[in-house]
Amino acid sequence: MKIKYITKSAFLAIASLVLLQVQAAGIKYASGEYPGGKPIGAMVAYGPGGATDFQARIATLASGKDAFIGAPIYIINKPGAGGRTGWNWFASEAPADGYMMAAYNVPHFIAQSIVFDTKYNINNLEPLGNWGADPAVLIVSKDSPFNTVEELLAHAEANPGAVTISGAGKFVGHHIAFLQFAKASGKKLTYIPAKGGVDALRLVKAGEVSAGFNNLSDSARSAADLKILAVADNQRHSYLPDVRTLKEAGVDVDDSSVNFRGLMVPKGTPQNIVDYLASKVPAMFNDKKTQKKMKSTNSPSRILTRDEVLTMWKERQTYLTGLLAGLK
Amino acid sequence: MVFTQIVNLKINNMRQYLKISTLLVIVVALTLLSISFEEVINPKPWVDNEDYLFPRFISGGIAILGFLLFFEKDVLGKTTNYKDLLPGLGLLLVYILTMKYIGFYLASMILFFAVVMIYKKPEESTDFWRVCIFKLGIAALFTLALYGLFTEMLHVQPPKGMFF
Amino acid sequence: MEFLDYFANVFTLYHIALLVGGTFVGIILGALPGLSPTMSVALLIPFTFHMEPESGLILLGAMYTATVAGGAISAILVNVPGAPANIATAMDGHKMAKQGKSKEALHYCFISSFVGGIFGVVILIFFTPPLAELSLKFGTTELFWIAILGITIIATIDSKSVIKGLLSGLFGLMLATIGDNPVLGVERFVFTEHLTGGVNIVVGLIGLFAMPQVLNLMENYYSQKNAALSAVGSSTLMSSFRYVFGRAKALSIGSMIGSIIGIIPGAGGQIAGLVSYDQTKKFSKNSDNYGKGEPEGIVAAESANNSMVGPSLIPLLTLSIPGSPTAAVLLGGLLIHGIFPGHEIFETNKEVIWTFIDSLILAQFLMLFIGLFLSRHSGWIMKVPDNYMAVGIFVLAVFGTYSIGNSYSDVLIMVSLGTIMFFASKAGFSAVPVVLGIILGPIAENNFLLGKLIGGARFDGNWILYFTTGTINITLISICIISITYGVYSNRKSKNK
Repeated sequence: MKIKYITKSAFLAIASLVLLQVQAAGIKYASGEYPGGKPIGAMVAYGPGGATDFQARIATLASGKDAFIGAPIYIINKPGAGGRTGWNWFASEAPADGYMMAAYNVPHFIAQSIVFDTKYNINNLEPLGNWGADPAVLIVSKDSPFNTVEELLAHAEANPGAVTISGAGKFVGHHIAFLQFAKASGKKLTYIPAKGGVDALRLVKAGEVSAGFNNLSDSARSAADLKILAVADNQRHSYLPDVRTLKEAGVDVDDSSVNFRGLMVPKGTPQNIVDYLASKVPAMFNDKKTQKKMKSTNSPSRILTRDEVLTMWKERQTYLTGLLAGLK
Repeated sequence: MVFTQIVNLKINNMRQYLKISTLLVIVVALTLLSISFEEVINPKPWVDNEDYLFPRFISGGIAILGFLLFFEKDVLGKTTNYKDLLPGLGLLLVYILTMKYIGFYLASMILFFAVVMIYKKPEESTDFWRVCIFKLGIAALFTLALYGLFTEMLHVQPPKGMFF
Repeated sequence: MEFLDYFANVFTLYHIALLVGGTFVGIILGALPGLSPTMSVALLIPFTFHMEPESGLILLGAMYTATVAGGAISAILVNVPGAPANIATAMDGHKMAKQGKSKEALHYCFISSFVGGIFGVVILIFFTPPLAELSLKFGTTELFWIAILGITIIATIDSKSVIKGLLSGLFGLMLATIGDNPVLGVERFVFTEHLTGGVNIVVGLIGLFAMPQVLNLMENYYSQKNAALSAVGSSTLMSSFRYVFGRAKALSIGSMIGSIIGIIPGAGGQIAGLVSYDQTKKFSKNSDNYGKGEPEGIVAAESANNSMVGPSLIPLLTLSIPGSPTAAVLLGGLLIHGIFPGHEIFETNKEVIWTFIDSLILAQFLMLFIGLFLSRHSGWIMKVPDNYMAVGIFVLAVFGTYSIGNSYSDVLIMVSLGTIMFFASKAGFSAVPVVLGIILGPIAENNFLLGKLIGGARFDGNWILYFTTGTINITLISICIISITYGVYSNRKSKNK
């Protein structure tokens, strides 16, 4: 009795499958030129509500306008393993038809592709444009005895290893900034890899660690609880015009740890689509309303074209390979 | 025929079954414990001794407790009714594996329909086609409700297959 | 009394509509097995994007309050907690539903959620500045001891045999070590690429509770008698109110513990319900009835997990440090609107923040009314035949799991864990200590390693000193010792009976 039911149900299921396939085939070939108004996905490798997530949402606000991409962009989050879960998926499984983009975070994904066995690297991803750059800043709590980089380093000189500096985990921008800082200053410092940027900031605010590297945007926001000693970038930042760069403080640290954020597509995407997007995406980031919103949310913007990003990726790849090789 | 035989096979000796499972747990724990020492013998870059400190204690603890459980006498488990369980469990697994290819909503509708067709109490109506259409309707409604709530209202993207 | 000035802002037609809608949808989403409060709030963030800051926050706040309470509905009716916070509710709540008292259980749940919720918001309104200071004092070592304190209840919670309880707890701790660890910068036990992201807490929760329940429903489909289940009981609202307010001890322990855990950054309201359940049980005369359908257990757990909501916003608003995973998502919601948390938030964004906090009070009332209204109709859910119920729960569980990280790997992990748990539960293992292990493992490990690094640098290598000095550390260690001693003592006592 039961067997009869199963066969009959299976028959029905197959019948409905066939019916649906016919329908789906019709839809598939109806669309014409790219993007044809069809929504485009953008994968964010971090959780909803995080800085990368909400900046991506703001940066893609204007995509629907005909002057830009001409199709709305929706965000999907694939968080996990510091971004590796999402980017692994993107490089190996995402459709390379221009309907799936992803947000990148440099230097995170480049450092990860050097250290870990990942499915992505700068060679199988195609950048489209860069919307923001968030440099790391050196911070101490407001009650800290240190007021300048020099004082902090003098303390490290007298007590090797006793100066602790927190950051958001290993092999992220903050860790790179720390490595550069320790190398350039020649002092023995201890890195405290916290679980995420918020946690790293908490360690500084509570005075558990001597200092910390953290995002400029987050630190500038909590300026009341912190003293910001220096910016790890080549030039001073417009949000903090009075804060010196590390170079000005006498420590030779460049912009390799700056957290660049932008959009990319997987390799294999047709060249005409890549070109089309590369010509539209930076303009989209530069939309007036988008820039206003970036500013009001304290998200530092820096717009780069596809070619500029390609050069930047290559520079980082060479530099980070050397820096991280010294660690092994 | 073979299927029914497997289904009717009952593990009568519950104690034996438990002991075997316990041994399995101990073996797995010891394997993990040995993995946690791997980098001491065969050092890898980036990995230092501290990384496996906690797993070492935990897997060691599991192994020790496993031995204690092996010799514990009293508590016995409940038997499993494989005859009613396996068809359903099988369907769920097929659903999980095919969902990726045919899409979440279609797979869910088929699963819903299949489960309510197979699990059927004798007092239900015997008119096959009437029951069939009724259940298919419920399955479609359920899927439609899911689609409306999640995809239309909340913009969540479940796995998309080749259909929709 | 500044907060009174802004009530008028809440009582606009638009805001009331948002509150009612948010609460209603929140309770429904919370009640769907597989959807956690964190998920629901995250889903809503894009919607608030185009709203005014006040309106957006009001909607998110109503959602936060309602989903936490709504998670108890599925915990009670189908034994699938909507969030880790509702695990303790399932232990007694579902037993009551099985005894045909589901309406009564839901009444207790919403009334005690309401009391706890109001308590929490009052704390938020009046004690924010001093508590913000206190919450910063919970540093690395303090969080480590809190995790250990949580681990001490593993052996005795919901298991008859201490060995099996400990074994399940260790299994959970082991699961938590899988995957990437940001503090260590390595991947551990990644045997297949599906494990790279590790076992997410909510994925584990859905797998360990929803999946075994689905398999149970299928296995016992032909032998189960539905008669008792479809009855909802005849308790009246008045008697429920009288009962809950008669349990002053459980209510106050629950609300206090929930509030304290709420302000501790990172400890997560996830364990508020379980810790308060365990404590209330230890101090209760009817401790033997816990786990068998004791209403006091529901009161303790639900008052705790809703009183956690208000205080978890204290470190969020003043220090930009979220006190729970859902608060972490709310932080994003604040930043999107250009509202930057910090000590000065009550000055710079006075109007928005006070309106938001006032709306939280109203949200508690709405949650109570809508919740009690829905309780009357709990019979509908109970009357769903088991086969429909099983497949419905399963599809929702798969959907919920997938949507946490848009990850198919999570679905595979959920189903595998659930199948293992189903067979393990046959041998007398419980899922509760496993989930506790998954939650507490990373807190204990990461904070231990960080504490060791910081302490080593501070005390010239003697890192143990860092863990054993300071008032809060010593207090926590003493509580741990008391908890273990009491556990051993009560275990002896019950064996001698």
